[in-house]
Amino acid sequence: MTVLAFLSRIGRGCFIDEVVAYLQFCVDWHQAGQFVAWANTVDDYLLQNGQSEETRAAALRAAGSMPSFWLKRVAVAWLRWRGLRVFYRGQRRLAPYADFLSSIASGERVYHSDTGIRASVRLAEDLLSHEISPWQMTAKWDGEPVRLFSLPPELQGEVIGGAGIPFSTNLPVAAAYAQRQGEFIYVTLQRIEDLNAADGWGYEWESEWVALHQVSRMSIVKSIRIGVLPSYGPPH
Amino acid sequence: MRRPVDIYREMFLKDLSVRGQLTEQQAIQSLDANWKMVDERTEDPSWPADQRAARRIWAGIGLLVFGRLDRLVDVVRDLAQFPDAAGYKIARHYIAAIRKLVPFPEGLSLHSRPRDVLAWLEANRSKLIWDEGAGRVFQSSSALTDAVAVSDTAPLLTPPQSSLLALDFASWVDSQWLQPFLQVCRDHSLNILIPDLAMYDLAMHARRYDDWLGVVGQLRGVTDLIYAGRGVGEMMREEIPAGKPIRSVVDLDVTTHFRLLLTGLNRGDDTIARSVFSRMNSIIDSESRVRDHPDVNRTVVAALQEQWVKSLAPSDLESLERGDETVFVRVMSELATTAVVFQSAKNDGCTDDAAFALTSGNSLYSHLVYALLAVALDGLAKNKSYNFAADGQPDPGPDLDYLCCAAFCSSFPVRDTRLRRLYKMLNQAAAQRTVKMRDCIEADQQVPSQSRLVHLVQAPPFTIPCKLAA
Repeated sequence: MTVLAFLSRIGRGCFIDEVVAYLQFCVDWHQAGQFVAWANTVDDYLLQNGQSEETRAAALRAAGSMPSFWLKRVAVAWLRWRGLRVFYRGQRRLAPYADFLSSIASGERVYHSDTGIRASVRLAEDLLSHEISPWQMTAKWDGEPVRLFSLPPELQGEVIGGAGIPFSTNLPVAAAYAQRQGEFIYVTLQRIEDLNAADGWGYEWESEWVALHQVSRMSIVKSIRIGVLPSYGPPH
Repeated sequence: MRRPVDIYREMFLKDLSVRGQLTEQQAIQSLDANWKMVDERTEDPSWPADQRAARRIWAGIGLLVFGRLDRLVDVVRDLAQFPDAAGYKIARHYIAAIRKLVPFPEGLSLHSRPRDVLAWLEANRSKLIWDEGAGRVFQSSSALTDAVAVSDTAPLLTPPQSSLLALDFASWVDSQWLQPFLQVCRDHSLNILIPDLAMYDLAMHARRYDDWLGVVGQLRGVTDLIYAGRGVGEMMREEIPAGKPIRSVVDLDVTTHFRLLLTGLNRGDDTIARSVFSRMNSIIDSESRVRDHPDVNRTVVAALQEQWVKSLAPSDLESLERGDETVFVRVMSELATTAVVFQSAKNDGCTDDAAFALTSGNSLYSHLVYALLAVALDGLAKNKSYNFAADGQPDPGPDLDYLCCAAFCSSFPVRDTRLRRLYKMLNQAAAQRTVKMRDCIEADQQVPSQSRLVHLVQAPPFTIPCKLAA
């Protein structure tokens, strides 16, 4: 244990953690097809019967448990014990030395005519001051402007999801966002406490997690080119 | 088994909530706001066209799910134009709602033949109505066929050629007055026009379903005699561009739906009634903002009253104050008064020819101007209580609407004696005016037709102080 602790670094797992993360990725890759079939079954059930909590539970019962090989469970348990988790993300290829950035931090979107990390932080603070979760808003609205009845006036028409960076713990979900030329799937290993699960939005099996503002590229364990995996979810 | 529409409503309410639960009305407001935002930001380079289309598709389907069909054609157009938009996270779970809620013909698929679906929708949009009871759209022609099979009435609905009596809201809700009236209509097969305004007034005043149904249900015994009126604004907008007077105040589509509603009630089925009530109740507040402008109406009529005082001879004013109806009819039938109509039409953007056509023909526009002038004149004359320059006067707007709809009917036997009297005097004035105009035009036969207008263009005593089309 002392050796393992010595090898660990802040914000990133040790070599053994990375090996375990890679092992989990291999299992996820192997099981991607089964996962997509299972998720589509549940998806169809919900489109037929609705979205209430009871219906979701019934859908999960009807489709059976999510495919999960024992080796993956071991890998996940190990990483959890280490405070880590594998998160996948599909996006355009990162520039050399660039980190993952929220859409406002990267300059793709603006918040109150401002952009960059500072604007991204300001948006998150403004949302929190109104008791609105910036993680949830990223999961819901991503990088698009929105107007909602219960939003405060200063946030109406703004890109309220622009402070976050979405990841998924399911490889085929991330793969759906890496289907075009120049897009990659990134396998990252991150501290669980640095991200928030997007509960209450989307489907549980999308397993969406959101980090705010910036995630170091040092978290990348592996990157994969487009179009090599079955994907679940929207193509963009 | 839950209705698909309830499932989709639940999904949208969840989508749209930020803090706490939303009401359906608030959800509709949010969907509307998002639709408008997309339209406002078509030039935003950071918001690609297919993402914007996905948002519009999402918002438009949301409005459909809450019973609004006004964006449906645009949604299908977006789907045909931006097929990728259907795959976006925001839209993908809702696309199926269109197929589940709209009765497309067999073989038409939104997925494989979106342009055919669009063409079908554009051709049938006016026949589609939301049925809240069933939680889906239905197509009126098929529903009409069903109703015809049940009631065994005439196969096709056409506007009545004669014997059309207009009803106003006050008379409709007064059951003691209404019942004998309906009996006469039944006995003599007289058709009844329910003006668009009366429907609106009912929705405004009866906010509970039972109250609303109580009033509507009184017409159950005369289902085959009922005709629904078109909106005055709609008819006027139709007339002004080409100067072509409307042919009928009857809205056959609405009449069909209204008769279906009454037929349903006669069978003990209030499904359509509930649907119509729910629909009207959901839009009535926004409708009220568009329709109700009592202060503007009062200001315009008060200004006309001032103009009448300045332009009328003192002896005519005295006679009017004594209640001399012959003077009222004479003043209203003078060509100088007709010139006000002509100038008003010109002021509303009509060409000389179009203005002349509206002035000389049996147009809704001319009836509206005459009604406006008559209400103002009447306020000066016998009915001093209708001096609209004073505070606390009623809104003259509804009277104007009823009077100009009634101008297309054979009678206006309403409870309000003042309205009845105005209607009678306007009819008499119209008859005299027709004779005067015919004589005037015949006298001008030797000169180019445009010069006929001289009589009308020259020196109207005053003008309407606003654009009526606005």
